[in-house]
Amino acid sequence: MNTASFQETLDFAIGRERAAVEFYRELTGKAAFAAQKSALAEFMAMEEGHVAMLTGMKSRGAVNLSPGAAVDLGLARRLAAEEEPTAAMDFQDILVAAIKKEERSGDLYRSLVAAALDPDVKAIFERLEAEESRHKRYFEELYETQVARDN
Amino acid sequence: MRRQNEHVIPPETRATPDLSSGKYLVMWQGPQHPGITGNMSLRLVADGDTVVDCETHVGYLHRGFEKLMERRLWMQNFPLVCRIAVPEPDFNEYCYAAALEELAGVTVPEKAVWLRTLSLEMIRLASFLMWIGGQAGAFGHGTIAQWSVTMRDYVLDLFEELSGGRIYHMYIIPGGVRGDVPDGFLDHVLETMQVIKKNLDDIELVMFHNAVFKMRAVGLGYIPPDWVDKYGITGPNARSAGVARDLRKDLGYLAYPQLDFKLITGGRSDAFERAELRLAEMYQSIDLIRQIVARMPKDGPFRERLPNPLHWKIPAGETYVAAECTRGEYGFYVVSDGGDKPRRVAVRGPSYTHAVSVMERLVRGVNIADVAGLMVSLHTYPPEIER
Amino acid sequence: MDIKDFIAPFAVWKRAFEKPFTVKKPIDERPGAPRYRGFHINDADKCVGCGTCEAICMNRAIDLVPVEGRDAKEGDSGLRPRVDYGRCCWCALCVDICPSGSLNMSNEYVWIDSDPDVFRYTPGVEPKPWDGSALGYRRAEGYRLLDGTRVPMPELDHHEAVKSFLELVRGWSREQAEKEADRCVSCGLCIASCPAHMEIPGYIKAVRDGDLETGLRLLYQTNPFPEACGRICTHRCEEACSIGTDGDPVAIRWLKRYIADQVELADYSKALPRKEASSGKRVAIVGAGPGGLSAAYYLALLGHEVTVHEKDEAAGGMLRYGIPEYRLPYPALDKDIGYIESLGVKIERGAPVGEGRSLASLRERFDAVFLSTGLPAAYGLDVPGEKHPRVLDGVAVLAAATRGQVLGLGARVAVVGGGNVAMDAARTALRNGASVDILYRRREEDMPADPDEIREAKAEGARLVEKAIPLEVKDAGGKARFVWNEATMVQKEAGKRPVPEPIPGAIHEEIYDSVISAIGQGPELSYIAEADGVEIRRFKPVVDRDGLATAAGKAPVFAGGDLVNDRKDAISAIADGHRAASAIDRLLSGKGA
Ligand SMILES: Cc1cc2nc3c(=O)[nH]c(=O)nc-3n(C[C@H](O)[C@H](O)[C@H](O)COP(=O)(O)OP(=O)(O)OC[C@H]3O[C@@H](n4cnc5c(N)ncnc54)[C@H](O)[C@@H]3O)c2cc1C
Ligand code: SF4
Repeated sequence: MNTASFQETLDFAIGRERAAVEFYRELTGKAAFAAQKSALAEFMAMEEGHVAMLTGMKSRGAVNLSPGAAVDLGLARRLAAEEEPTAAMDFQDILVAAIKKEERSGDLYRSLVAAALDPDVKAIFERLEAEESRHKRYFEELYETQVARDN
Repeated sequence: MRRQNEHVIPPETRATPDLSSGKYLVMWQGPQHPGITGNMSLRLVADGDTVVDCETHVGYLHRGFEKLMERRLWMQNFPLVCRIAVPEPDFNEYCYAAALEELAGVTVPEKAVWLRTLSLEMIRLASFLMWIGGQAGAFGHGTIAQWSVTMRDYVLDLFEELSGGRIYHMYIIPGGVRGDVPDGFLDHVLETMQVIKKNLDDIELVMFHNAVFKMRAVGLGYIPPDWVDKYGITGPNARSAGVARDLRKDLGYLAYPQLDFKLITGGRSDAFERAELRLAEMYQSIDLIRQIVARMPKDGPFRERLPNPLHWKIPAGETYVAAECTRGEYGFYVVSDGGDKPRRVAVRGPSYTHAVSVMERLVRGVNIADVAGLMVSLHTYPPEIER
Repeated sequence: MDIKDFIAPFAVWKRAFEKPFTVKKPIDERPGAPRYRGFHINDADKCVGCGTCEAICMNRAIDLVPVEGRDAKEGDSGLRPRVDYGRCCWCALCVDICPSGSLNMSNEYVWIDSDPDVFRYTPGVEPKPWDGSALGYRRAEGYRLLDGTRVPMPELDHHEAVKSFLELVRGWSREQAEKEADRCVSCGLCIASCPAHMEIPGYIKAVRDGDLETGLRLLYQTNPFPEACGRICTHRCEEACSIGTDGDPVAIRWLKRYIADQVELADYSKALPRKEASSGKRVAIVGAGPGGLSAAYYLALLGHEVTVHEKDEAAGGMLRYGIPEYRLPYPALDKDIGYIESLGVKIERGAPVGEGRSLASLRERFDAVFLSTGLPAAYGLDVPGEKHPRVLDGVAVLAAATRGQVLGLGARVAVVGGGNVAMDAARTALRNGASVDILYRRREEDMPADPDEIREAKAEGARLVEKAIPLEVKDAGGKARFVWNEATMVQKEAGKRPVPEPIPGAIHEEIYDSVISAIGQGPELSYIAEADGVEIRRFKPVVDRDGLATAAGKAPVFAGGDLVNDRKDAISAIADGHRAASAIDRLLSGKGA
């Protein structure tokens, strides 16, 4: 794989993670009270971690992400329509937004995998897609244990 | 040789031999002596080889059961009581259980009544078998003991099968018994009775037709009928004196009223006749066991459920429950103050009378060599004297 | 004396030709009888270490000892009986009484060793040749020293029950309660699994002894809500009950109720401890649910002046506004609360903390603050159409029922969810004459609701639709058309619970007058400002072991109850309140944390 396309691919991924950080920053702007802010700050920090991780991989020139996709709990596809959380957002609203966001990223990488011609690039996208599935799984599990406890 | 009707009645008062005269020999028989039935001893004063005075000594086997029982829950005493009279644990189990049931107002299921009767007759037989070995042995006739102890072991095999224990059966539990008979058990009982009966026939032949036994036992230890009430003599010792007294008849407890048996009495009242009478009661036990096996209800509950043994409290009250053991009246006096432990338990074993007061008097004038035979002829168990 | 007397003894000789009686042990084996009371065997996995064997053993031959690799857990002390054969008399009372039936005896009776210490051993833990023996003493069929059957609790007939909000469970008479109390073996396994660590064997003993004042005192040592908990507690204690290992667990909850029901409120003060002298310290409590009021009770008892701030018009929290009155009648709850108030606890009703009455201001005015605001906000169905006017939230329906409002649920009601809120909503709807479907995403056995609740809901006529994944709510001429996807349970990961996976095409729908959502509740935390310095993680205040959320700044803030704990039941809230009260007391009286 040529270095240029490796760098390009990772730059793209890093860009996505930066956008995620921005997503949470924007929500934080809307937040009205401490509980919301702390949850958003936690998730934002996670995304910042992803940025740092991918940046590190980029400079080392190697992607070490597991290719194994996480189990899909199938929540994302069912949760209600995309609605921007409001100032009164509760934990459910925040988690739904997070799950939806991770799902969108997964979908994006999936289409990139399909479109990629270079097998190496394809492999990286596959790994990134798997990584997003793990993030989504993380939020889905939180949703199951903290929100939909009774269903 | 003594004549059957030559009854020497020993004096009521103790002799006061001058021990410093050098004429007398003071000797101890027991507590380690095969002619002593268990852990007690006799301090004998002999003039030549004739006993002139005897003092019985107990205290070698005091385990403090009655006091221990005041510190234990009602149900916890159930495994304890059987130890009071080792060769006949079941009478303790029965009397204790029946006393509690009476105080607590519990009725025992029919099946348990029969199984209890069965246990009591089986142990009567086993206990007599052990005794007869001792009686023969005391006159130098060891072979009988080898047979009869084996026969006793066959009965213990039955107990092992029924209850899981050979010596301490812990089968008669307050409320009933601990289990129904196992499969095939009743057949084993009948087979064993067959074997024992045959053996008893042999014993009858070789022991009761033995010249030495006859010569030494006939006329030995004569108990006049008027002693029976005076000393509180019970069981074969009383029946041989001609007093028709048997709690199985007199109280009619358990299944005895439904069983067909006659009281066996004598009149000669010496060691030989007491042995004959006990032999006859062994045959009678075999017969009773066969009757029980035939008439016992086939099924049904064998225990009435009682409250949780950890909290069981028995209403305040007192009672005395007695049963006819091989040696006579065995009884438990139980007092409850309404708590979860007995306030007082007192155990009445027949040996207290037979081995202490009666023995001390009967032995006066007896040849030293006959002391063991005399004592065994009273059939005494020191463990029940001091508990 | 005839000639026979001299000849007869020679008959003995015939025996010389007969088979001897003796057994050639050890050449011939002589096994014990099948029932023989030989050496002990214990199924250490079945055993729960309750120590009932130790309690019955009159020889003190049994000690419960720790065993390597076995830790205490709920319903298991982690200990196992060690038998000392220097003391044992092989009576087998231990076997007879063993609640789980794990302890038995083999029919083995020969064990020879030169080391006397080996004869004290832990059956089932130290391997022995007779382990697992099929023979040996067992309790006979039909013979038990303990009673495995619970005294039946009188209940309204289900057809009657759905017609009204009358209390379903009628309570026991003295005789019934004492009989049930007799079943307890006082092993105490229950204490560890009760979140409040109530002195259960003690109060059960008080029932047995007929000493209800002692019973009440023991209840109040750890729980000032005995009337409520005696009815609606999740009774984890009963799951731990050793009698339940082979029979019905002791009905601990009903016995608690019995004690509280029997003592008149007017007599409580005779049985219960007096308040300590005033400390001059003031504590604010936010939320008059069981958590908040439990803290209030213990703080008041310790002499502190307590003010409870409650947003609703009545105290009790979810016990009043969630749990329906057929399970917990208001007079019973009022009795618990009444006693707490009688100690001088001030409850300001209709006084929400938030705007106007800020947490910061409470921290100014009081010496300590305890938050127990619970989970008042119902989570939404989160499917398209969830805003349909006929989609109602379960907690709100129940609160409206408490307030005596007209519910207007209609004739056909769907309840979505499988927890206690769902069951309560369903049974409330049934009592309002509706026919009710309960739709749950997994299987019945996965439902978080108490099995009794599920059983009763079904008995009262609710239909249970399992494995129903909500997809959408559509409008059907003003009614709600509820669409769900039938699922199949798939074990996706080993060791995790199976996941409901939609079966493609298995879409069902049904028209309902109301769809009640009861999938879960969340907290309402807008009253905690960032400046309050309370650390919050994932919508839960972060607290230490004592429930302390922050000691920085003004008065320290503690929190507990549903707001912070994971168990989310009344007794856990009560335990939290008690713990926080003790910690607050230590802090205020300078006794050191
Ligand atoms: C329908 C239903 C059924 C249940 N069934 C059972 C059951 O059978 N057994 C069981 O053990 N548990 C049951 N629970 C759970 C139990 O009710 C709760 O665990 C318990 O009530 C929690 O107590 P708490 O004090 O933490 O909170 P809550 O009881 O919720 O009390 C919180 C209180 O705080 C008040 N509050 C909230 N915010 C503010 C504010 N800002 N200012 C002032 N006051 C405020 C609320 O009005 C409320 O009174 C059930 C719950 C529900 C909803
Ligand atoms: S058999 Fe009897 S003495 Fe032995 S440990 Fe069990 S209860 Fe104790």
